[in-house]
Amino acid sequence: MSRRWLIAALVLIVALVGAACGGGGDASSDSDRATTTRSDRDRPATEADDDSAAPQADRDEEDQPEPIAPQVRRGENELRIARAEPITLDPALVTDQNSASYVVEIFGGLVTLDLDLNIAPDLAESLPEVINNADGTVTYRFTLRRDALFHNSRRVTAQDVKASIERHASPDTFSPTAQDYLGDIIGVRDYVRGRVEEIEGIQIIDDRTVEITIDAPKPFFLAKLTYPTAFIVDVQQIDADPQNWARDPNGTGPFQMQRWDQGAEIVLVPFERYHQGPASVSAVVIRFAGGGVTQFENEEVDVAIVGVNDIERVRDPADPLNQHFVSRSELSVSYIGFNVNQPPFDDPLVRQAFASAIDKVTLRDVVLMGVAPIAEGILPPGILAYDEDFRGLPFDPEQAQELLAQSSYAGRLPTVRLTVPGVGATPGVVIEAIQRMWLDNLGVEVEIQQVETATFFSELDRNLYQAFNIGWIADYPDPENFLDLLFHSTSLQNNTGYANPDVDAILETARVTQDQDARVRLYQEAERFIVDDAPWIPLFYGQANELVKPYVENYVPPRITVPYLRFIVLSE
Amino acid sequence: MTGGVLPFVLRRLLLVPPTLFAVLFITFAFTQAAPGDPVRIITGTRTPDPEVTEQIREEFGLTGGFFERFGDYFVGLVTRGDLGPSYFHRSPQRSVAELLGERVWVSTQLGLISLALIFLLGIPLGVFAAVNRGTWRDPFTIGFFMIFDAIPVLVLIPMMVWLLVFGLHGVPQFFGFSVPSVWTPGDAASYIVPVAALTLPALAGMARFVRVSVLSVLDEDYVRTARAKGLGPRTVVIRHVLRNSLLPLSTVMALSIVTVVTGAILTETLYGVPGVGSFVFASIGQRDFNVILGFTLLVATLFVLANVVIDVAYIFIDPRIRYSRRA
Repeated sequence: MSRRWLIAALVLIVALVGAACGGGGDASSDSDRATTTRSDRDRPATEADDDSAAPQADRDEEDQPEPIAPQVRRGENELRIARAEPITLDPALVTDQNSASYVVEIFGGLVTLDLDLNIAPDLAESLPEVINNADGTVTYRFTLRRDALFHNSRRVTAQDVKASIERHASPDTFSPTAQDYLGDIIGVRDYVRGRVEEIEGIQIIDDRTVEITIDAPKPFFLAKLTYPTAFIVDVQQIDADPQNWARDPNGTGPFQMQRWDQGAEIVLVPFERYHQGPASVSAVVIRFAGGGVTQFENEEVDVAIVGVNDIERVRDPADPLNQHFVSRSELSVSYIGFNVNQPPFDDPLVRQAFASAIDKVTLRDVVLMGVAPIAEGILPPGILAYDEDFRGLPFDPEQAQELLAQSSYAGRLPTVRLTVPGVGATPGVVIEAIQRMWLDNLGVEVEIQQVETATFFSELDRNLYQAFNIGWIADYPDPENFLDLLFHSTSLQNNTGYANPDVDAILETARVTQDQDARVRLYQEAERFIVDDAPWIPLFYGQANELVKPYVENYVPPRITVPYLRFIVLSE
Repeated sequence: MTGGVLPFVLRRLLLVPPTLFAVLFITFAFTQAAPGDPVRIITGTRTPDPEVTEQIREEFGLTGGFFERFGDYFVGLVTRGDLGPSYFHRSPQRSVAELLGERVWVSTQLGLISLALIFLLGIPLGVFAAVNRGTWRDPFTIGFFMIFDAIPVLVLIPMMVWLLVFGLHGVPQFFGFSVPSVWTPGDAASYIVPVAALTLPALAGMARFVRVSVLSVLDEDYVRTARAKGLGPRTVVIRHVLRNSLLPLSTVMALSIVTVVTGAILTETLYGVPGVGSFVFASIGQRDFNVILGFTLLVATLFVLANVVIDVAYIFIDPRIRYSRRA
């Protein structure tokens, strides 16, 4: 009897592992299905009603018997995405791009960015009326839409605008971003510190009209209002349940929360009364776990991000996944930053020498297999003031050696250490290649130090590193968000310690310059100064790589985090 | 020389609180000594305003000296059973108990199924190997399952996904399931890969343990007697050999309960199971100290209690065992 039992057990195990081999002859997966043609529709118009039009997909295939049933059940007209779980859904607390991608779909603000990254009205009827006051301050007068509603169908009023911004900036909210994004509004800086009871710069005129006054004419201010820190929240809901309201937030955005299974998935459903027209899909299921590419291959998700490890395979035209591959540029830049107050990088000649010793073309073509665009300057393409013809410090080993020889550290260069965040077995191929280039072209052996992310950023704040490698992604599409925020001598985000009075002066002038051409010229001038001084070696502009199923139409994720899910139409 | 059972149990239970206190204190000290700053983590890649950082630090109770903070934590734990808030998951604010609770449940389901399979399959395999000692079947049985023990989970799971998920395309009637490539809530087939990944590598160990245990009993006099009086080999093995050779397994069983609850970092990470192992691992990177402390406390409590249970259980399982009063 025990023997028979044993055999049964063995059979079970063999079945579990071995029998799988027998099922080998399956050529079904993606290649067959790829016959669906992707209709070449233009980007959707931003007007609401265009989007609610019925999906007009190719229906050629409907007559043929469907050869393969989808492997995993998918709800009718349901979009499935693989993406990480959000850390928070509170617009005042969000700092990471991933959480922000949820927040922008659930909430909304007075203004938003359209898919081309132009500032567009959201809860406001139109872009605000701008009033230049005699004392140099500027007032923006917003009129709210009559049909702007919270998910619980309550109408959004001017009181909600004031209450939301006061809630975000309140010292009790502990927002890490309120000061940066709302600090231009008169009274916010005092309010954040708890010195005043209300924000003077926000005035309710009537139910639908609100005025926001800022301290000086700043052309980039409206762009700041598109960031989650200025989004409208239901303060009544927050007051009723201050700790847990964000589990099921009552926002004003195109999607509302249906379910949040910790560690597993979030299900968003369209808000039917959304003021710009409801989304086309019936639900968006966002799955947190596992490898996106594997799930994509197994028909479990419709959109997946391609990680570094899968890039080579996905870019291979022979791979069935290749036809679903979509690559697009992001408003971000990766760089090596120098601490300009620490030897040897306190000497600009040393910085320039290190910059001239890096061959970015080889890095791109050989190490990165051509995926990333080389960053000549600091501003990525798509940002106002980006100059296509601008060339940074050229790759020139002889010049690099000469610069080093002229520097104050000639012949007595201290040990140089480059710190990178991460915990991998290697610091990554790009950094390894750069280390080699510095050795070959400059004769300098650079130590690479890898520091766990949690420690990296707190040590970076304390200026503990000689040189470091990170990146910057735009919060809003304006050159101010790169040049002023990262290089002005008084900015908190200036991690290099770079302080150039000339650059400061240019940046300060640019802040209040209304004329667009003049602004562009100022920022381009500042960028040239900075690149020549080389507190940074800009490396590459960001590139997002994704897999998208052919039936996912109008999938046009913009280059920074703005709402786009409502434009998507599923043609299956 | 021997005391009653009850005083013994009481003595053992009295040792539990000081043990747990020591574990808590040491873990707390470790978290405080760790580099990195939980406040800096939640502000992301941006350099925060020092004033805001200070406000958040106060909100979290991270100001004040080491003993003050440990005192606050300990008092909250003892008086209110409060494991503190998560620093990282703060809006919606999730308590440590909530964060761990859901995930422990997921890990426990997988762990229990796998533990049951390990015993149900491992014991017969060990007995099979033992009674076939000296033939090719013995090394073959153990050797076959050693393969799974030798393959790292990092390799085993992708292989299983490849075979079960992609290899079986178009054969969805396989056990009536089509196996998803990652954990899918509500899909029973999601259990197949992680349970197999937890079970297969453990079978060889269990089988070897049982095999040795059975072998040591096979040569005992009473087994020879049983054979001599004409009992069939099957009866001998089940009634006389197994019962006596499985005694040591009770220890393994009790301690396995701990690992059942704590989850498996690699299996969970690789298959995307929202279990407690992968979650706590991530929490370490986020310096979410209260989560780490809460989890350590949970594991320590289970471990200490399991040991008490084993000690007590032995008195009942094996009447020969007695504990000296002066232990």
